[in-house]
Amino acid sequence: MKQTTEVDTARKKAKFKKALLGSIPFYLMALPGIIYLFINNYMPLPGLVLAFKNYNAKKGIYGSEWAGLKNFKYLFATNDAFIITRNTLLYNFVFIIVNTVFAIFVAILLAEMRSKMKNAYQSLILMPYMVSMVIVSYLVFAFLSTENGFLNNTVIRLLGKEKISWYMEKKYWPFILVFVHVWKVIGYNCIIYLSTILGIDRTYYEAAAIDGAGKIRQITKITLPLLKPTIIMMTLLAIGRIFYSDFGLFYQVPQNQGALFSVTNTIDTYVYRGLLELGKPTLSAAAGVYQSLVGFVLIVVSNLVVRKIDKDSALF
Amino acid sequence: MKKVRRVLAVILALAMMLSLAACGGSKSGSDSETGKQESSSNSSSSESAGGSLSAYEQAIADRKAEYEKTGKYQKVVYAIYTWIGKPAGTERIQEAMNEILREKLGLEVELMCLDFTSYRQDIQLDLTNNDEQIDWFGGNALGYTSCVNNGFCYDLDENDLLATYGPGIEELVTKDYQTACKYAGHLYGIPPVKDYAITTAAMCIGKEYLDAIGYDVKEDENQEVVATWDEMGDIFAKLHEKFPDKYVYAVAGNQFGQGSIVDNIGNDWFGVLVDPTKDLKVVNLFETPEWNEMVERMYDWNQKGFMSADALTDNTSASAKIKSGTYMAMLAQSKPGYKSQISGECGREMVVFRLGQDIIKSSGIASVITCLNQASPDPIAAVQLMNELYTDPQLSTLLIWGQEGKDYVADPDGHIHFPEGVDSQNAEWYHTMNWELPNQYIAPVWVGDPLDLGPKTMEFNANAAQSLAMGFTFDNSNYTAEYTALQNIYDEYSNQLLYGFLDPVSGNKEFNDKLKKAGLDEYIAEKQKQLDAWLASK
Repeated sequence: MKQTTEVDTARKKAKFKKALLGSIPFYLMALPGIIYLFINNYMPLPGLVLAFKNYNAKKGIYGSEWAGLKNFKYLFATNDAFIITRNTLLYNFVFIIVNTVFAIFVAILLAEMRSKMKNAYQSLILMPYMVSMVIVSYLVFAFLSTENGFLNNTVIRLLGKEKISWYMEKKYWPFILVFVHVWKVIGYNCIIYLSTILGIDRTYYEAAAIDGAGKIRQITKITLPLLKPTIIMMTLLAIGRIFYSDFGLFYQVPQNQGALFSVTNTIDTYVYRGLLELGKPTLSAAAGVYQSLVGFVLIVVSNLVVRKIDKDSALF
Repeated sequence: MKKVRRVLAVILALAMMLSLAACGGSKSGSDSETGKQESSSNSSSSESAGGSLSAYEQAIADRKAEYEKTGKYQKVVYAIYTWIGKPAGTERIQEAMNEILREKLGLEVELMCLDFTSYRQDIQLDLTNNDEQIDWFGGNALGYTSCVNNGFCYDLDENDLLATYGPGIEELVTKDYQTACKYAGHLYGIPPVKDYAITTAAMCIGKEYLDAIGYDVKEDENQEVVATWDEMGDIFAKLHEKFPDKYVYAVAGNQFGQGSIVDNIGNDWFGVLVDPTKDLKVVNLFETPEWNEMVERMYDWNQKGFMSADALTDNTSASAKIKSGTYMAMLAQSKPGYKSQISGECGREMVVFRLGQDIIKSSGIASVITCLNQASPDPIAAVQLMNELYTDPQLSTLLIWGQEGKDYVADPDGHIHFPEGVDSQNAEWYHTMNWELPNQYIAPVWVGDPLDLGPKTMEFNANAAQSLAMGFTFDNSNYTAEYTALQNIYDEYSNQLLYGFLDPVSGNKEFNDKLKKAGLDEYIAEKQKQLDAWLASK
């Protein structure tokens, strides 16, 4: 009895060693990424101290005087603080939901597709993600321009309505921004879900089909439950960035129009407008620190919640 | 294993977030000291050598001796912004300049030409890191005040640096003009020799359109037509009637910056001098009769259909709009020789209507300014180089127009133009950045400009009325929260009002209410306080 357990542990050890040796190539493959991560993300971390300094190039970052929390004041001291925080949070909240729903929907459609065109479709959906926001803003402008825009000259005219000054009417913009955002990122987001779906064992579906489950049933009973861990991970990561906004989307796409500020001004655009002339690195560093900290807290809290509900799905 | 993987994923994600905040800026500090040490060792060696040579000549002799030892000339880097990036002929021009400079000053120049769109960011990064040598840079491209506040600039008065090694500059940029560039009593940059004054509110209209409505153009000796805003309204109405398919006015929101004598002291619009030549009371522009009259006029013009309904979203420059042939008029600021400049920009003959007056605003002189990096390895060499660029016609011509025969040829009357087979498209050195470079008036004059452009410009500067706040700089570092909020509100409303898309009465009231809530009054009071203190110290 004793002997067998010894043999067992020895076998286990050998197996582990083998597994470790076997995965070396994979670690090597990850190495460039890890080095990049270290250089790009860890080495600059001491620079965060800039947010608490009165920066002067002559004295250098570490030689400059301490400023306490003064650099953070401008983010909270004004009436706009509420609007920009609200916009940033609400838009990101809507993005998380809409993105997840649409990305999974498209991923399932692609996974079920048997056509030869599948790869072509996938690339086409991904295309907007590769396009710069500046170009996107002009594409949007081509639709919405008051005098020459596509919408005003076709749909609106056919309906016999007055031309709409899209860039002066804020009521349309929450929808336009969500639409543009989803159109742009859906191709990228669905890749992750698609790869998870393709990794699901086909035998589940075959068994379900034999038992008489239709396509819809297969999706709701097999695909979605198996996607759950991925959905939770993606959502948690998105929550960590909920205080950041896509600058291009909120600045370029509305063409920086004043009339739309109350629905397009986010933390990032507000900071940008204010600092354009001031050129103070300390203030932008302060904004970054604030956004990261809140993101960090949110991700830890939401993970705690997830762990309470479903321990296996939590990130840590 | 699965857990570990998840945790790793989280750490990677967090790192991604934090890095964004940490981006920009790492080391510095230590470099700055070396510059100073070197400069002081330089000056001490010149003192110890003593004798018959002046400090100016001694510095040159020292550098040449250094060259004998090391075989390398001291390099001075001059970062220039252009609209076209790095011209093809940069190396050639640089070498031609160095042929003169090696002999004359014992140094070499490196022309670092960058596109204006990336200049601000690239130079700001370089000034923070100092990984790459930069000596002279265009402070105005980054914001002069912000450069000084961030400590990027070398104090040119320190140890009489400019007076000792830049006597030519001292002569051309007189004490008066230097004072206007000082920040808290220190000189952190020098302006090029150029037009500091502006003629406010120059309405430029294509001549062909004026001919079509039968307007009789009577230009004065400055090639301008004196007129009023009301007359412009009448002309616009006729133009609109005659050319219903074109837009009349390419509105650009510059009615106060270029179109009036209102002085936005401290480089923002929150607290201005309405009549800066007479009155030093800082007031809220957006409640003045001048502002109200202007936004009402613009609203009226917009209602009459003079502007495009897309004006707010169309960021094309006004002159490019007119060049395209769909617009007819634009507002600008004028100066001697402006008619040929704007006609060139608009691709058709333009008539310049003069609605305003000549003035040097508080920021007029420092609006284009060249600063020396505080980490410059050899400030003395840098200043001596700049001195030559201000005074040596050969060097200035190379820098501005390039080499004779290759980049330009001269007419018998003295005008220069492109050689056979060269045009603005394929030219290797035709950057038209004359106004940024030290002294364009010791170089020849391009065809189209009057030959006496230099003297005329000097006369223009001398005769223009000056803002009483000339040289005043505003330090708002204790009011950044207010400033950020005010600037956001300004961005929200100003163009809508100035382009005539918002009701001038109710819109303007909303605008003012918001500004006041954001602390406009405190901001103005602080500006007035600093202005009074500055006046008292003068």
